[in-house]
Amino acid sequence: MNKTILHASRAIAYSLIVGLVAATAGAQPSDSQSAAACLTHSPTPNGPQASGTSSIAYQEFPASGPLETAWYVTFDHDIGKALFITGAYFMPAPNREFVQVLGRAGLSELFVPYQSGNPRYADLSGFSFDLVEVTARDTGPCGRIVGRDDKVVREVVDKGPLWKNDDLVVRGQKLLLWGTLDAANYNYIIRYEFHDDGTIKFRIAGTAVNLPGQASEPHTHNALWRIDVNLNGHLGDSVYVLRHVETVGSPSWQNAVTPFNGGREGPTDFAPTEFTQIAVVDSRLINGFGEQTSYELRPLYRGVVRHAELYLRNDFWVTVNRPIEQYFPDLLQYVNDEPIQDADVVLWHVTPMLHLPRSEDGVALGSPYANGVALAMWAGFDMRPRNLFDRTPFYPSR
Amino acid sequence: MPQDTEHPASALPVPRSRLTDHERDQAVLVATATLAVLRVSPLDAGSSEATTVLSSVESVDDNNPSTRLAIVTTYDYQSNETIRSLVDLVKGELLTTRKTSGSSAPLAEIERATAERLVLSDPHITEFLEADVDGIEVELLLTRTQDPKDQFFDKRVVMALLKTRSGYLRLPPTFVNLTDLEVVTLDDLHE
Repeated sequence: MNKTILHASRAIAYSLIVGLVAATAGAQPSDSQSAAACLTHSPTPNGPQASGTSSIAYQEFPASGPLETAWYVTFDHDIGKALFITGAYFMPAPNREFVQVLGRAGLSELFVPYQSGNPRYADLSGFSFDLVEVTARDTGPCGRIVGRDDKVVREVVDKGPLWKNDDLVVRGQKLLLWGTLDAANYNYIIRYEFHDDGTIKFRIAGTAVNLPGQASEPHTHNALWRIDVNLNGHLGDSVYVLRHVETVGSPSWQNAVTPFNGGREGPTDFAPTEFTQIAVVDSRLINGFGEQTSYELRPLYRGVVRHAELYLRNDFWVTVNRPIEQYFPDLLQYVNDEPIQDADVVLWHVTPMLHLPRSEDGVALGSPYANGVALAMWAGFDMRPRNLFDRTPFYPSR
Repeated sequence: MPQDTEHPASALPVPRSRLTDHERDQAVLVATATLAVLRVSPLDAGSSEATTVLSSVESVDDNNPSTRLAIVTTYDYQSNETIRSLVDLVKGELLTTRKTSGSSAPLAEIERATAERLVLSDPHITEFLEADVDGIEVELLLTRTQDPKDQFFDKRVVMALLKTRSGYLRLPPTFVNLTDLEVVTLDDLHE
């Protein structure tokens, strides 16, 4: 790879002080807030958990005003596991009960192979690093530090228009929980978003220092997620693939809904022409119109990987939930043809980031030290409800 | 907020408590006691004995609030296998064991200490270090190879990064082969 040439007219002084890079994670340009405009954090249920160390995040929407929807989320973090969700429940209307959506959900592995073939890192399970402690620099003026050991940030933010109909508009809101995994030279920001309309967004960003000694070599960061979907409880869930089926040149198309992998444990792949989505349907949950409720995993891809490891040859996997089966690299052992219809199911999903190093990563030659940091590069996926509500969320009643 | 005094989410499950030190110890005893062919002992430089190391103990959930489960992960150098054992902490029973080929188990404390000692005493490394080695922090990245022709294939290997107060040292790629207890420094510097 060509070396970066520094022009003599630019005298750039690098002084890397490890650990003093202020993270602005969780804040994207569309989520700006001033201290005067902070949204209200809803109080957690009373009891021993209602302290600053509580691992419960409860939020009503809108943040101020009459309750319309709410999220109740439990979370934790651990060495080798980063930040993960242990349960998520959503109330779609004040006159409805909370609906469970998730059991345990989070990263199963972070796999980072380099272009030459070596090294190949297991950035999550291979280390015993923990989340980075957070401070007011991380929370900003409106966020809070929550959970054990000052490692997790909670924010409630405006997300822009939720819907708009000519002069009618509602701005949406969301609850964020995020923490940063210290993976040696790299940091990974792991963020869970719980939206007012029942949507959940899983996001991860790689940032911090490129690998010293191989700072210019391309590599991928593969976030390997394990999602225990417990829609309306852990039993009675079935998994389907939603496909947009179009023949080139035809004016019309069809939508296909088929059982995932024929209704059995196994994999399937994302097809960009098919808008592939994975749906988890509960056997008993219906909305006010009698429509069956589901949650759809909606991928966000710039590209997909097909690495040497067999467990990275597919984009989605589904297995029956077994407590011993926690590790993405062992997936092929877990698949043994069990039915995934009307069962306790787990989704496994790969979200890769391709890192082609550039000058903005801060590589400075001529210095004995690795200076600068790679800017945060995001990947992830969304989970969105279908037929959970009876109407457009937050639409004015007539 | 609703006007009644009961919180809307008061009936929902509270987070489970984390594993206590006693539960962790119990899980390890149950998991390793029944693995009769394995021995747990510290790595020793120069020793050719195969050893098993304890990598991690973690709690897991089976969506049943009355159970309390843990997974104990160990790595066997002799067979190059990662072993995961699911323990029922309420009954004190080993429920199941899964073995996978290769060293996917997290680094154990003793492995970390051994790798650090080997790196900081290697002459190829010490020549790069400043006089004050107390300011050096060694970070270890567990790495694997898929290539049977690679010298590290089927070995337990970590890459070592050296971090000083001024930042990461840009050294030739440095690996510690924990299976053979040796430090390997690659000649190529990929910049």
